[in-house]
Amino acid sequence: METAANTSEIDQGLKSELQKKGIVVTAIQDLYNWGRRSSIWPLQFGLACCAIEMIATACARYDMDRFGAGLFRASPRQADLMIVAGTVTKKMAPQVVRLYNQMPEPKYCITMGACSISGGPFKDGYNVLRGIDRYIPVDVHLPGCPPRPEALLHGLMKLQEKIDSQVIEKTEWYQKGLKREFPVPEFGPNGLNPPYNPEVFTPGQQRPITV
Amino acid sequence: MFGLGVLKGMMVTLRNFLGSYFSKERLTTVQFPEERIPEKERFRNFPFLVYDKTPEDPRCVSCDICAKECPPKCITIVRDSDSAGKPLKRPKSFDIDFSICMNCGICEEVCPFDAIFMDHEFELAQYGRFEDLNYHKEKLLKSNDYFKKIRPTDAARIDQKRAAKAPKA
Amino acid sequence: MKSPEDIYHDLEAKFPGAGITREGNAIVVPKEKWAETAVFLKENPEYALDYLSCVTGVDYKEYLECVYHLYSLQKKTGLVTIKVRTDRQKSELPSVTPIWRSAEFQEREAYDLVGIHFQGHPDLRRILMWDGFQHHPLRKDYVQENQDRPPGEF
Repeated sequence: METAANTSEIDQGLKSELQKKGIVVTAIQDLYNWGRRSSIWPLQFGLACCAIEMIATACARYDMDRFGAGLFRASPRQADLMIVAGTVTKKMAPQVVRLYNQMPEPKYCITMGACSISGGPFKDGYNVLRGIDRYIPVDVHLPGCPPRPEALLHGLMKLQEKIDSQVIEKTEWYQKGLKREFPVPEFGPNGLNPPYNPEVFTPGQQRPITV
Repeated sequence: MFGLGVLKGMMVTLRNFLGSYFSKERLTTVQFPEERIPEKERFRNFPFLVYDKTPEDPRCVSCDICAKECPPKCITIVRDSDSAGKPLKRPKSFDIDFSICMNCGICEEVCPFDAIFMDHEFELAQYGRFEDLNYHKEKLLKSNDYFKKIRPTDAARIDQKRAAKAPKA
Repeated sequence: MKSPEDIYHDLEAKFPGAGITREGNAIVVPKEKWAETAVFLKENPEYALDYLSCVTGVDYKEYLECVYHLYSLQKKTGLVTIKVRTDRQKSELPSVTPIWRSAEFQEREAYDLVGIHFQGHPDLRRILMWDGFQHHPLRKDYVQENQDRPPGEF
């Protein structure tokens, strides 16, 4: 069982190699990626104030449905994008990981707002998890407190670029035996156990100072 | 009559729907990224550092007040020193962690040297959290002309204040 | 509207020698007398303090304190503050949930975060932290976990 993140990026050498293979393969790949990126269905997952901005993005003025992402699903089994919007508390973190595990492949995750990227202004709180990327791999980070609806649309466009760059021959989700299930943390006596998932997150990378 | 409220609500929706074909003000969708809402001057997003002439001499003197006043402590400043070890009035490194910054604007309010102001840039989504969202001094420095372009009245007021103080120095 | 001074004098008259004192605008009631005082404040037709808007637990270094904010909806009179103290090791207070129903969740919060046990509470368990959490986060001697420690350590 592999726990690989969605990081397959296409590079130019590979693209030209593919083009040598034939027009048909690249056309199919473009069609496949176009279909996937033009109808991403998010999971309704608003936790705190950033959820209001997410709702505003889905409303009339900054319509998210123009990007194909306006159909918020209530069940994780039918969604392929999880927009974690709001502070993730330690009490809620196992539930977030469980929901991410229940989403079928290919799945993506956008963390919206400072709180879900790194704990944000509440990072010293007793019940605040310092960023949900301690337990699940995150594709796009969207800073702001809260980010504007246009910033969420820009983040969605960046995710679409990432989807566009994924190679059809190397898709992890069609390989045998791949199950991206991340271990759900448990409640310990003074915090979550484990405090982070070592396959996904390495601690100590915060704020390198350039001197 | 039973159900009248629902019908009234649906009439509002129908009027908006049909009216959007005929009048521009009923069609409220702003087609981002091709169309944008005009920027307001007081819009407050992430901070940036101002330099007057060249990026090598910013207005910041590395007094550390913004780092102390920042509520989530996302600013880290290291003061520069010359070859003899004497501290200079210039930051050697100025890091703002945009993954923590909550856009409060307190750093702009407390800066006594008019060196840090809030920018209007919001299209800042990144793939990586540690390398891309940690902004160093080079990325934060922007010129005074840029400041005048995005916030004309504030920049004019600051320039007047600095010009009035300059002859005394 | 009776000022806190008048309420204090009335309480002194009703419960003489109980040790009810004043601290600023608040009235400090010893915990042995708190249940009776609470019933008196609610039932007495002169005050009719029937709305308990806030129960807060506070940790001072030597003792724990619980602050109650009372209003009267009938008389439309304002804030009366009552403080009840207890010590840290054996922190028990009589619960006012049978008197004011809004104390139910708020006393659970004071129990969860500061560690004051309320006797007579119908359902005293943690409300913000999870049930297996072993500390009281808003106490002054609470030490947070290190979120960057290696997994497997506590």
